Amino acid sequence: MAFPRISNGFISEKIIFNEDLVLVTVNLNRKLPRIKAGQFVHLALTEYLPDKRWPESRVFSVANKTDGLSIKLLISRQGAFTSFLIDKININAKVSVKGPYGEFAIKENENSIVLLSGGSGISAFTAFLEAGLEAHSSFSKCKITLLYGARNKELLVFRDLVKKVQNNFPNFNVVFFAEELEETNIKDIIKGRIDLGVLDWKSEYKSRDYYISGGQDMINFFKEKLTNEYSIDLDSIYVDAWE
Amino acid sequence: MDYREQIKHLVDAFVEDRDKKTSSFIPGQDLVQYAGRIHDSDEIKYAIDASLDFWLTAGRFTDEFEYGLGEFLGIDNTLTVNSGSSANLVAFSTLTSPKLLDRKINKGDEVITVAAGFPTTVNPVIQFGAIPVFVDVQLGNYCATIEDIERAITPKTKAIMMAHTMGVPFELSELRALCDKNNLWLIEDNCDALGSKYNDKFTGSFGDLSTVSFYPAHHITMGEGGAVMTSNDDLARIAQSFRDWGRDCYCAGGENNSCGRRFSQQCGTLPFGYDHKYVYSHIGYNLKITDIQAAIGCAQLKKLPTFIDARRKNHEKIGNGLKRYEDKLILHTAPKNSDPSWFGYVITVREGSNKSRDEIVKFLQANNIETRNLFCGNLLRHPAYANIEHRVVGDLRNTDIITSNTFFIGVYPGLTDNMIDYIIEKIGEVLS
Repeated sequence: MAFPRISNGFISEKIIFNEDLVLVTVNLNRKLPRIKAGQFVHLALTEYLPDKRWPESRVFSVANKTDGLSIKLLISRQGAFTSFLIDKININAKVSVKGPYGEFAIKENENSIVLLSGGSGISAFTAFLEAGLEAHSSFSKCKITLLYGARNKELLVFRDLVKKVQNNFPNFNVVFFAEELEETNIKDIIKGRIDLGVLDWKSEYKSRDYYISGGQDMINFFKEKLTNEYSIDLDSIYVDAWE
Repeated sequence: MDYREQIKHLVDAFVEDRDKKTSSFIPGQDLVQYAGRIHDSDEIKYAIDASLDFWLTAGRFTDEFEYGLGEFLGIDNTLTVNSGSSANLVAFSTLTSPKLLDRKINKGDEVITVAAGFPTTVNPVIQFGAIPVFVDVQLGNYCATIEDIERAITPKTKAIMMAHTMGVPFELSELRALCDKNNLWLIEDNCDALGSKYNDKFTGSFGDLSTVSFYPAHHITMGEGGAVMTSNDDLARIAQSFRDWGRDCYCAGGENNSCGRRFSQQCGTLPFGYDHKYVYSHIGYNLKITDIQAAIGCAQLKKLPTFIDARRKNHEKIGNGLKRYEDKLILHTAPKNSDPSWFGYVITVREGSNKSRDEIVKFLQANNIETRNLFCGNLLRHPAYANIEHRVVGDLRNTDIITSNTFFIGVYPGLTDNMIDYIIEKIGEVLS
């Protein structure tokens, strides 16, 4: 992990998916150190004053492959802080960012991996997917399966990016899940929650590494299921968990 | 105008008044130093700014300095420490981390280095219980050859740790390739060479880790200070742990839960969720600097390019002036492909010269010209190192010649043309 750095910046874009989910782009005054896919930053909703303590902040995965000057953060409503961010913070609002942090970095040289992403948890993987589109090598060596679920298909907000990766790389497979799915003509989304049963457990899935990103309940659920039902070693399970 | 600004204005006035009283150089009467701190009112204003913040530990100036130095050298991670020697200690300790698995340096492993240099390049190796393996250096540039280093490699070799002595880069591209071929770590002790280049790339950026010193004799200063630098993020994190008591947590001072997992990790056999702030993954030290030191460093860093230019100009002028004595003196040179940011001008008195090193040095000292030996000469001849476990590959003939025949004079930016002319005149006088 590169040494974290602080930068002031402002919100340059805000895409509203629904009342509980937005994607913000933060433009920074000062370049952050190299950010590895899967790492996160602290976001504070005020400018940082260097002679004062770091203000109240929350952590968010960096959702794009970045040069360190422009970062995208997917924000879902959790509590007062994220509610304020979603409801009150608009374009040009001054913010500050500190990071990068975290070791939830996908080991690209592994033979094969499974990514489990629930809702806004996809943001821990999107930088990896974007990087893959740019540098073919990491994907060509690696068998990747993504199980990507959300409440409804509109909240599969990175579905286009994921499909693009799928179209470009035969080693990349995705299964989409939506808990609420009215339409019956959508072939590539399974109605319901993420289900490990879609994987062919007779093949090599037992030897893969598993990366789980989503809410704490989801992480606990799949961690337990993978270890108890599928005998996956705990060392092969990586979770993007914060307090 | 607020108080802070008023104070800064007073500093400007103070320095202007102080410098007015400084008389011009009088040869023979005024001391010609081998090194010295060069500053104006900026350094004092920065220091006062940091003092008025009264943050004291690493803060905004440390952040600014680490960022600026890293940007300058093109190295991703800069970790300030309280001296160049501490930087060497942290850099070497980093490579002993269990986190490096089979690449970790263990007690009894060998580390290739040279004996003609500064002791704290080698001390961490000895203190840890690894075995220093010494190779000789060349006279003139005072670097080891790639061939000698290659001959010293055995299955027990884990690393090469050497200094760019007096600012002269060793053959970095070739040594990097040799390290890669043999799966060895490379630590560049860059303490004497800030701003030197090899193949148009800054020294310090070739090694897995490198170190810098900010002691007043060095290229820039913050009084006491140094830095460990690396573009390897994993090594950076380990180095930070060794610097900061050995702790696993990487929160900056005054921060809490930067990792978001302060109370939810299983570390060793501690109870689950033991406060990560007090979990120790290494047996470390506390080697941090204060923000006041870093503030002085920020002001100095702005001047670094001009300091480097001045050192090169002064070195060239001295070299040109001494050319006529090449039959008696081995003049200071550098490997091709290198562009040194010289620390000093090193002179070795040739065997058979009409004057010895000691006679020349005493004469210069009597004429108020400071000189220094090439640090410790042959380290193995010092009492503290008489019984250390070590290995020598080949012989240390040149290292011994350096011990007896070598000294250096300054090239620091505080030297004026008049001073340099005076140095050359006096060397000519003693040799004639």
